Amino acid sequence: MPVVIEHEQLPVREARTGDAEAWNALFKRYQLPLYTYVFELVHNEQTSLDIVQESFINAARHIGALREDDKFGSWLFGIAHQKCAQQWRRQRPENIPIDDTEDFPDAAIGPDETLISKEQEAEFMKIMQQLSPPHRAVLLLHFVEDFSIEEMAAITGARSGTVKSRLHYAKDALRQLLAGDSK
Amino acid sequence: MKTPREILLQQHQAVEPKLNAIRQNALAALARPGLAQSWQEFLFSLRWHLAGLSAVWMAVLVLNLSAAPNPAVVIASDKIPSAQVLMAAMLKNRQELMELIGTPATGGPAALPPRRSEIQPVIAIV
Repeated sequence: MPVVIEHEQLPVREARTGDAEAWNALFKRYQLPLYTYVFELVHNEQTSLDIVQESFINAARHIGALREDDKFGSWLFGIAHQKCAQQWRRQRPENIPIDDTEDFPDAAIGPDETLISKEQEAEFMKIMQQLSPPHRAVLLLHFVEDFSIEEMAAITGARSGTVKSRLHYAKDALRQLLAGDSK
Repeated sequence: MKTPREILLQQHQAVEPKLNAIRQNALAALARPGLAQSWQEFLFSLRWHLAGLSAVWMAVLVLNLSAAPNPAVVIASDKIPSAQVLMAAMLKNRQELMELIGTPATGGPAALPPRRSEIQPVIAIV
């Protein structure tokens, strides 16, 4: 069963006018996916909560910088990603530089049809942790919000080819695990 | 069987109450922006207008500088009298000096005034 996140009608236009109800709806829609993304990158609950809150406040203060309303989700994740990157630099700068620019055809990144059995859940989470932060980031963005390659490139600040390469690598590693090839 | 999304979100479901609190904090922070932030937002909203005005003023300044004559030259040429005026003033001065010392002025333009050391001092008793 493919993961399909239906096109939502988010109240971004209302939020631009400062409508508190609209902001409440937007925050509520994204709070858990955003927290999940941030936590899986920084692995600290308090830091993740702080980043989510700062991302919400920054988003509300700088909503004027958002050009297209339907890009609100990727824009919000981009704000959070920058804060995670700052956190990485403070903690483990050696984890940042990965520039695997090998290009992959679009066909390699099709709709995700991965289904995981209950027995494999722990293994799935384990392999997520084993991936480097840049690889984990694109896989999380793909799984959690099903962002396009261009959106993921905008969020992570990487080139589209690099994002494709990372996603291909990460999905391949996951596929091997689920097929029972992983050691 | 679950999708990766379901598994990932389920892992963090327990933190939902804290996220709700964070959402309320964020909304409260938005409801009362500080004075500095209000100014910042106001100026940020005017950034294109300010940039445009600055560009116009820069253009006016550049055009003004390139079109205006050199002010130093203008002042100098306005204040220096011509050679004829200078000569007439010098002759008039000499004539007055001759009248004072009692010598008739020759009036010739070629005659130069004697050197300062050659002039006899005249003491007038009034």
